[in-house]
Amino acid sequence: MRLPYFDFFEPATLPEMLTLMERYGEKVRPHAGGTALLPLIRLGLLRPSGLVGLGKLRGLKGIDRRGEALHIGAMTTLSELAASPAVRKDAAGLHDAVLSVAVPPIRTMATIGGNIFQDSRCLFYNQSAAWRLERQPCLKAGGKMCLALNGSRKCFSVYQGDLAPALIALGARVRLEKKGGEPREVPVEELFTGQGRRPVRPGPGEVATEIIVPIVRDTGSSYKKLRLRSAVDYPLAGASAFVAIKGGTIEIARLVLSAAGPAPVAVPLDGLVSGKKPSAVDLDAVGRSIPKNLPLVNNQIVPASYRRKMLAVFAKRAMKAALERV
Amino acid sequence: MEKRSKRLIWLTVNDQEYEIATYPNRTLLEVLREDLAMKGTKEACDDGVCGACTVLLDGSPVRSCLLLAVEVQGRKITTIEGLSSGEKLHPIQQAFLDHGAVQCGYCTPGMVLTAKALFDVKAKPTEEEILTAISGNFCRCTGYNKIVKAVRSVAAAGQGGR
Repeated sequence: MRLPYFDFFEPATLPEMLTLMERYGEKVRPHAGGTALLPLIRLGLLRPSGLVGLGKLRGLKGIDRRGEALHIGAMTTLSELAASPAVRKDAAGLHDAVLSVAVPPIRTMATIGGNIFQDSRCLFYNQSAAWRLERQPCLKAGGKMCLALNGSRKCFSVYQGDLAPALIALGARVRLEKKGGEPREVPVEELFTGQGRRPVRPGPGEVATEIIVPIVRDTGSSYKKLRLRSAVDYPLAGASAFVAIKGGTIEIARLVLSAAGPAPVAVPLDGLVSGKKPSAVDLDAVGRSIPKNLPLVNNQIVPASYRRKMLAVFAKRAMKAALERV
Repeated sequence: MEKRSKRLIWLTVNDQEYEIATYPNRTLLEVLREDLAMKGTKEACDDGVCGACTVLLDGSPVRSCLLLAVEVQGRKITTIEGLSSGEKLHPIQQAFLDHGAVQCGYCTPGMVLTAKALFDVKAKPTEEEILTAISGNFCRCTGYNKIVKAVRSVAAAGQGGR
């Protein structure tokens, strides 16, 4: 199917790009790799009058170690991340997550920034115009109620990004810039609204330019993902774990779930892992610790009850892998 | 943003430069098939999933249905038409023929190009590397066995590269 008409801007400098974003506001979308954006436009779910292509902004590309952090340009492709020895060594959980996204030809185009800022997904929303014409529009498409949980006034679409949960587990931050304002840095988790309709967004006119991943010594991290095919698919459940050890004892432990609601879910571990020796961690208890009230409904190709069970399984696997990597 | 205007762009396809006037919302796939009449690149899912529209961009396989023609100016594009020299098939194409690795044929150009990109970086890839490389190319006739055999035979002969 044809893409509807839109204009395409190719700013050559960051100030030029930020000016365009400010001038056109909601009418335009930043275009990174396009692998998630173009299908949404094709389905008629997004109707931008213009795209602001970020491809010419050389400064937004590359992985740079500065001090005790990896500075990753927002336009760095997933293939570049997958091939980076620094990412593999110092951000293993992110490396796992990158390799689990789609397939190599899509990773060649897709970017870390685009992956973080992808929209949430639902079987009742991500459908063709013909499919949607047979029904009333769902909440996310501007309708009055949710079609997945009939009658509900809440949107249950699922954020299925692989990278954000891994980045949150690693304690990463994102740099946001806008015209005429000071750049600001926020933890990745603060990008998420918790609302299925608009799950992730920077402020008006803001664009993410860099992702900063702290490098901590004696740590282990991982990402585990459930999908039906070993390629292409978005996660149906997933988890990323991070542990930092000091003097043989776990000092910091984080567990973040993917495909568990409209935003990545940080699981409160309440002393289940930190303060213990790696060999003394009760992995079954880690699995049991995931929240019971996750907003999951039957809007994916496997039922919510199964996804709930698998979140516990993948949480365990992720924690086990992270502990083994320290 | 009221007027709908075409852009004059230059595309380098199979080492030939083309000047094309196109709207910015047209994909590389559309421009290849419609403006340059290169019908070897197939349109199937049009959603980035299947890999039928695979072309090589600077040597790496990409989805041409997810690329805008205007954004690939100055890049080196290789389509299936760029592989054979006249009647003489590329060794990968010949292997697909010899092993009967073609059923409906819709996935074949993408499979062959993906295999070529793999051989360009590694003359003798392992079985696992072959499977990972073509994991993004779907054959809905499900004739994967013969496709993998064909690619493996080229790997064994070490003749798949440039």
